[in-house]
Amino acid sequence: MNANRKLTTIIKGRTISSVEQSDQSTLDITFGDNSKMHIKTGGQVSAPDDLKSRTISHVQQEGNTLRLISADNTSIDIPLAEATSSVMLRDKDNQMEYAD
Amino acid sequence: MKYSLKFILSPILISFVLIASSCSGNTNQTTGSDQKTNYNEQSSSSTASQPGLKPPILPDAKLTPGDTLDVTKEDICVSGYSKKVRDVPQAVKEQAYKEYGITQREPGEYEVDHLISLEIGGSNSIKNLWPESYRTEPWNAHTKDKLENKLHEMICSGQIDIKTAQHEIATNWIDAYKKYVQEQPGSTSLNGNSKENGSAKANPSSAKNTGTNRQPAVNNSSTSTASNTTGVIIGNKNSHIYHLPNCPDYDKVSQKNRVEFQSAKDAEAAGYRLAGNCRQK
Repeated sequence: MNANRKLTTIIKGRTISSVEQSDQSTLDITFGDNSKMHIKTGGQVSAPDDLKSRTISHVQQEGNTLRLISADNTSIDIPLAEATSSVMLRDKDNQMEYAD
Repeated sequence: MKYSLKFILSPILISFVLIASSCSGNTNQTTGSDQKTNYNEQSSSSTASQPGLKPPILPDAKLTPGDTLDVTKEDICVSGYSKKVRDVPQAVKEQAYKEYGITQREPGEYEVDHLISLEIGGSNSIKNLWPESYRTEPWNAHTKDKLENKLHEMICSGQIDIKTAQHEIATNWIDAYKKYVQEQPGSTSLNGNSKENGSAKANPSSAKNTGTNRQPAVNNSSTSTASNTTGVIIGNKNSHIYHLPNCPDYDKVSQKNRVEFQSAKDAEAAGYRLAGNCRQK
């Protein structure tokens, strides 16, 4: 799977503090620094609670899958609604940091 | 006699159906665009079928209705906004070409462009991407760039709201160009100035050859040097490398880094050097 360097550079080292999945179409991840990543999903994310407390090491993305890899080398795959235009990250002040 | 008539009429009917289907554009492929506003309600318009204009000049509304990110004026008017958006993956670009039935292309022939440009809040969704020609005249990717810059400027100065700008460019970018930039590329602008005069940008209507498959005006003489080459030259602001229209990476310079020159000589005068994979023999 291809590295998503742009997103990796931004969220590397951030720890997930909470995850909210509303129906099967969105997943909202909040990091410890209060930045929020809104993801349009293409299906249910299995065990979203497993994401909590993970510190992001790097991010991979290919096709309709976003893979978050933690510092402990475990990873979780998130099915995206589309290959693009599915992820947006905003900082604690709601300034856009990243969109795909 | 009945059978004879049928045999005579059948080829005529088949020909009619074939002609009708070829004129209707690519309508048998759709994308899942039902969840978004279909800004582009006009399919391949009459403009696209005018002599001398080869589609796609306007995108197919079914394939490319337009799509936006959930961003505001405050987001897009921040310097460096477009750099925050991920580049379109090559696989998605290839999908756009495929959907439009473009199986072969030359370097510098098309750009997979955002219908609603990134700088005014457009998204990277396939619903917002289409292969836009560099070569059609006068409506081409270079011309549309001017509209995109103008709309961004107008949004950020409060002259137009972001939703209106997105709607107008998605509905018919040529009409929007005429409304917000000038009636005709290269003509005197709405505020009385020639938009292209004095700028480093090439004038897309200035090319002498206006054929549908126009090659950008390049001196193809085997004895020529890059410095003698003229036409639309694309430079990369970051690397200070420039590409001729027939170079392999001509259409790979990202929008944010792109700068245009009237000639290679101009590019070199500005401190740019010719791309290594673009040396003329």
